[in-house]
Amino acid sequence: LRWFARVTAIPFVRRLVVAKMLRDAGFDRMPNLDAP
Amino acid sequence: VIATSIAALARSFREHADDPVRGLERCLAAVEAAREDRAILSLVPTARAEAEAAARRFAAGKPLGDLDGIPLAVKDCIDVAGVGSTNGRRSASETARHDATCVRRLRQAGAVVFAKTNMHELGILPFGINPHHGTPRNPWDPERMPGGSSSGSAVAVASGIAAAALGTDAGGSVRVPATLNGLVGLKPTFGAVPDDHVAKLTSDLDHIGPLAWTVDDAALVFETIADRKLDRAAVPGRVAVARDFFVGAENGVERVVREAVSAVFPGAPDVDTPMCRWAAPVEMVIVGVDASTAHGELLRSGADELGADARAILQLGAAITPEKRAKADAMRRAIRAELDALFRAHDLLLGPAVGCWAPRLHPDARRFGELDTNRMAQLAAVTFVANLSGLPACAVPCVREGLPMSLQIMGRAGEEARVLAAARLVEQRFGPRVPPRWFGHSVPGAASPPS
Repeated sequence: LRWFARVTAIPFVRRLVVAKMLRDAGFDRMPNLDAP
Repeated sequence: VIATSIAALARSFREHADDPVRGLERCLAAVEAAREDRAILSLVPTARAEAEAAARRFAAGKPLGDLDGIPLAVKDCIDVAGVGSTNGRRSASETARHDATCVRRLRQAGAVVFAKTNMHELGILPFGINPHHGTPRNPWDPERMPGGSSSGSAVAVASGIAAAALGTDAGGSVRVPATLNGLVGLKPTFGAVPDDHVAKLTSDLDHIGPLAWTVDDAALVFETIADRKLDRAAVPGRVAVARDFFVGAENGVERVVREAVSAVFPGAPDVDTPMCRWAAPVEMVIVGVDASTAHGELLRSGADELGADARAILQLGAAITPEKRAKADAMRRAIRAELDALFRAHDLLLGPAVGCWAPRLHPDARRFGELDTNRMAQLAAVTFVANLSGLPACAVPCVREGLPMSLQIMGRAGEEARVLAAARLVEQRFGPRVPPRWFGHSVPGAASPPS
């Protein structure tokens, strides 16, 4: 986890990790009620 | 009257079988005996003087009320004048000059706020782990997580160190540790309790609430910090079960919770809450964005001082785009609308308070923290619903044996009295249980289980 904390300080890495975490959590499948 | 309750202490004070100074001394002895349990981070230096003042009031036959002289603890993100707050970080802020309003109200009611409790760093996860101060020991099983983020408050009460405690709850941080430690935990309606001088995780998900042995104790503390009387004649009304709240629950959770519902609320119908099923990803996005914004300066100047899990979450939160935040906000509004519609036909919504039994605590987690988002969602997805909607919710124990498990009872905004009325019925059936590790110094003769 310490290693994870260090690499997520890198903006490129954190964008990739956030994308994967949200995908795994189902965020991408969630209906977008904010869409026009 | 439960032997471990505030009510029992108050009665023993009124009958002069005990007094607030002796009560405080027992708590301080428990703090010392339980030093390795890591529930308490600091003591409040004015506590003894406050206990002595309370003792004089009882001697004169003029107590202030049922909280007079009662020894309480508060989470270390809530300011108590004269003590620094760590908010779960390695070191404390400068000494607080003012009490938070909730603490001031407790003290005005005569309560002896004597200790500040350990917590998950920044209150950022529901595990209750702290790599800086040590993780509070779950008195039911030391190999399992205490739950958080108000882990020290829960362990302090469940272990018999304090009569009751305050926690804060942005995603289940009162109800999750209350559940894993076999206590009653109340998250009030958003805004019911002033949150000044409290370190918050988000802009509008944080709530201050009590962790206590009994529903009446939780109600008493809530009435004091909210400065509002509850209708003790309130009734549960029409009760329904949210079947979606069991989705993803660990083996056995649904069975014991449904058995409790059947025993206490026979015939309660199931209802669907499809929007609430998205609570976990919505909460992740909002907490990520809000926490990284609130603690941006900390991340820039003191990232190395943070535990690995808190640091990673703040960093990841900074990468969440405004579009994702807008999508999460829209679903949050839909969740509230769904619940408002349900509460036109029903008065209370039931489900499990957590989706799993107290998770096992990996040795590395004690040292570095824990960032298992699947486990987080399983543990707290149901509690997230009440934070996102701002509605009151109470976790009340609902098993008679084995590891603790609780029923969560949600109600309409401002209807804490109804929520607690239902919790009282559950309590009458299942009652409080004393864990195997119990210091029991908060009440006289407390070496025996409550009766």
